[in-house]
This record gives sequence, structure tokens and C-alpha cells, in this order.
Amino acid sequence: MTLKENDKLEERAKPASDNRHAGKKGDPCEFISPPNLLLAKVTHDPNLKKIVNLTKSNFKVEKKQLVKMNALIAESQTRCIKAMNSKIVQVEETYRDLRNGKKPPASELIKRVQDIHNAAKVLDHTPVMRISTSLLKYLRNLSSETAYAPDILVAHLDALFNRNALDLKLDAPTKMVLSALETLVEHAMTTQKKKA
Amino acid sequence: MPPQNSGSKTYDLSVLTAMFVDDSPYMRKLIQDLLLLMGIGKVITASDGESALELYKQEVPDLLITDASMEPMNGFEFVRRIRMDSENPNPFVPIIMLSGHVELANIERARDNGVTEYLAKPVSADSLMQRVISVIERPRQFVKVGPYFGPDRRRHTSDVFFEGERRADAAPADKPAAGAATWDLE
Repeated sequence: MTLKENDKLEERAKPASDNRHAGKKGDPCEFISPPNLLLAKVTHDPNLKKIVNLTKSNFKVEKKQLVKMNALIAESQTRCIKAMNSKIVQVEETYRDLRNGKKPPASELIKRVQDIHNAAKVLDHTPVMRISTSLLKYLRNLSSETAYAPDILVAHLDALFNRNALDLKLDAPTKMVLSALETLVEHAMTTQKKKA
Repeated sequence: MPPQNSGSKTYDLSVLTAMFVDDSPYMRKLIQDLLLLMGIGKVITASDGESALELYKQEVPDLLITDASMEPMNGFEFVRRIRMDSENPNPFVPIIMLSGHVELANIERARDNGVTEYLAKPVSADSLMQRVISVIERPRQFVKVGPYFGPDRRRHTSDVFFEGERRADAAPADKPAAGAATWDLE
């Protein structure tokens, strides 16, 4: 072995100095192989507790079952698209009030935005999820029902109404819009804390 | 008792209890229905990590599926508590994390908190089924190192050998395997 390779090996043997993850290199390590209770259970064969890793899958997928499951997913998505759109239509009233200088209580909006967020989660609609998360974060940290800046709400609702212009895969303009909203909320919350 | 699950000729999934944690009621309903359609006997749900911990101790499910982003306790903290809590009746329970955030940092965070498998959204029937079967057929070895307790975080897909394959077949004898030390015998 050359000196260079020897140095490399010695270096590898040293414990790592960084603590990026819990448990550093070089820490004493205890390996545990728990009995495979699940396999024993589903096969009704207690002897299979000892099997650590099946080399060949015994599971046979039925196509009919997969079709049923995929149909259920499609059905759920259709239901969630409808729910999300109808909930977004419902917040138009609040939006109009805000535009007209009124200040509706935050709790009403929280409930509706939470519903929008719940539906968006099933659809994996990242832009709507991030807008609703940002808005909920702001509304939930208010000192009172109307202690909010209407412009922040309007900006979030505007983005929700224009959700079709946002890219699901988060292209650069979409990222910019979402980051701007999140920064707006962060800034408002920091200012609020300083005032308090 | 013979296997009853219609989706598998060999596995009776009806004896299993699964638990799904997500703050979205739509998502809870969807995953609950999917797991029941798979043939799992009982599926319990919780809306956040805090209530899930309580429910977990009462029901002791065989399998856990959790979302990552929830309030007040998120999925990462929930998983960490499941693994580290000394009062937990089964710290080895397989945990599948379901999340739309597939950035490397998130996956690493899930792994470092003790997640067994990571499932990216949008969920498909096939991917969900594969993950569930994977935790049954290929359970992860556990490791306790420093403050970490959970599935062994080093996993190499090349280490999985199927029937008829042997480790020796993986690398030709005349060619050292990648990463193997080479010796200079001069």
C-alpha cells in the first residue's frame, strides 16, 4: 500500500468532527434486529419472526384492487378540487369587505383558509398550500380578532384567486410570489412582537 | 386461519392495525379508505402529533403513516417522540412519512428522526402498497448510536440480493468493487 493510501485509511478511521446528525462517526454503535412480527402476523406463521429480509416478495398485487384504489384517489381529487374552489369563492366576500375598508373578524377567515389548505393538501397543490400556510400563520398570531394589516390579507387572497397563474412545480416567478408573501408575514410578525 | 386479504394470495393484512396522522380531514379519509381497500383490518386516524401520541399508546398499531407538516406537533417531532419515548410500547414500529416536500433536506430530516420509509405526494395506489409491503418483507435493522435510535440510516440498494443472486456475483472477480481499497504490492 502506498503512503498516500495509508494516510487516507488513517483519516477515515478518525471520528468525524462534524455533528450534522445525531450520533457522530466513531460513537459506540449498538445494532438491534427486532423480530419480524409483522411478517409472522400476516402469514400466521410464528416461525417467520426470524426472517429479517425476504429475498423474494410473496406479495401478489391484484390489478382489480389497484384499479379500485386509483379510482378512489381520482374521486377524492375531484371532490377536493370542488371543495377548494368553492371555499376560495367563499372568501371573496371577506376580500370585498377588506377592499371596502371593513375589518371582518379573523376567526371567520381562519376557518375558511384552513378548509382551503386541507383540500390543497390532498391535491398536493404546493402554491395554494404555501399561501394558506403563510396566511394561517399570520392570522393565528394576532393579538386580537381585527389586529391585522388588511393589505397582507388582500395580498394573500389575491394570490389565491390567481392560483391558476402559479406553477405547481414552482417556477421562478411562482417562487418569487410565494417568498414575497412569506416574507411579508415574517416582517409583520416581527414588527408586531417588537411593538408588544 | 387462512389468509383472507383479497389483494394478496399469501398475506392476511386484515390482522393489522394501521394509524394515519394528518391534519387534513380529506387526506385522513382518503388514506384510511385506501388502507382498508388494501385489506388492512383496522385503520385509526389522528389530526396532529400530540393526539396521535396518546392514541398510539392506547391502540399500539402495527404500522404508522404520518404527514410531515402538522400543527401543533409536526410529523418529525412525532416520529422522534415515538422512537425516543421510554414509555412507548413498541419503539420499533415501522413509520412511513408521507410528504409533498421531497427536498433532500426534508428527507434527511425524516431519516434522522427515525422514519423507516419516505413516500412522496401525490400518493398513488401502487406506491402506497409498495411501501406497506416493504416494511413487512424488508424490516430495517435498528441502531442506537449516541442520541439517535431508529432504523439504520445506511441503506444501500445494491445490498439487497434476490433469489439466485449472490454477493460475489455483484462485482466481477477481476475488477475490484467501487470504493474497495487497492493494494500496491511493489
